[in-house]
Amino acid sequence: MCLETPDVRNASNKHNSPDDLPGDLAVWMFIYAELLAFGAFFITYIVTRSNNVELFNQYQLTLDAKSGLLNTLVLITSSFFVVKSVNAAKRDQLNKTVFWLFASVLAGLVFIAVKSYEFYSKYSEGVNLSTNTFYTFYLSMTFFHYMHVMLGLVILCAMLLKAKRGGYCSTDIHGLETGASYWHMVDLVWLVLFPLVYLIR
Amino acid sequence: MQDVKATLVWLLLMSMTFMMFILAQNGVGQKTLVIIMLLTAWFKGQLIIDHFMGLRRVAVLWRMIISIWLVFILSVILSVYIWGS
Repeated sequence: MCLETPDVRNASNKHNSPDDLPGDLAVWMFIYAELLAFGAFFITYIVTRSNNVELFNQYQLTLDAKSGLLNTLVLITSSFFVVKSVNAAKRDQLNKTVFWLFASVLAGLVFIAVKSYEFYSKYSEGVNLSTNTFYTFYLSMTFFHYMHVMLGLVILCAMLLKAKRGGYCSTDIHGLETGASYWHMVDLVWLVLFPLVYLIR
Repeated sequence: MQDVKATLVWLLLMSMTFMMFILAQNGVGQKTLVIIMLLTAWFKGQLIIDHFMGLRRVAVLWRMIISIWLVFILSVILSVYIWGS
């Protein structure tokens, strides 16, 4: 049983059928819309690259692929921690729910730190959006994703605070699943972005 | 049991990410490499969709929307990479 007052619990309690999406349907509409936006970015990138292959190959070498690898591993791990948190809540293990959410926030912060350092390095080298077509795409796509990670972290922190108050349990998991779905979307998008921008030559 | 499955999926995702990176550094024939990388990205993405997002057991429409998005984007990337220039 959740530790929050029954009024609060009942107000946010939703009982999905097995066919329903985990979490809130409105957030899933947002997730699908976000995927379309990222998809348009990816297709525009590869089409533009096909007309500027040498330039894209030349400047792709200036990126730190190891940072990209590290961030991929960090995001996958953070997503995994969120899954562990949801599973713990389903078993009414409230301390573990909080612990794994906290771990996922830490992993998300590592992503932000690594990506911020990458942006800072490029800024220090005098690179900006108008340096060339490759950097226009690299900076805009990765920054767009970076902002999604930031939003995801805000959501994770809000869920962490609620979890600490005992707000999630096996009978009230709707909010936790909603935030988790958004965080997994951020991970899914990076799994396409990383090979596309850092590895494909 | 759910945790064991999630841990196996996580280990698989991490291993495939390392494998993809090492292959990219070694630069096997570029087209072959790109096909392997995009197939790996598809498999990893589908693992996220099914096991992390938990869409494996929901109504097929919801799962198809996101799975088709993934296949469509990766197919366009591959097609433009091979035939685009």
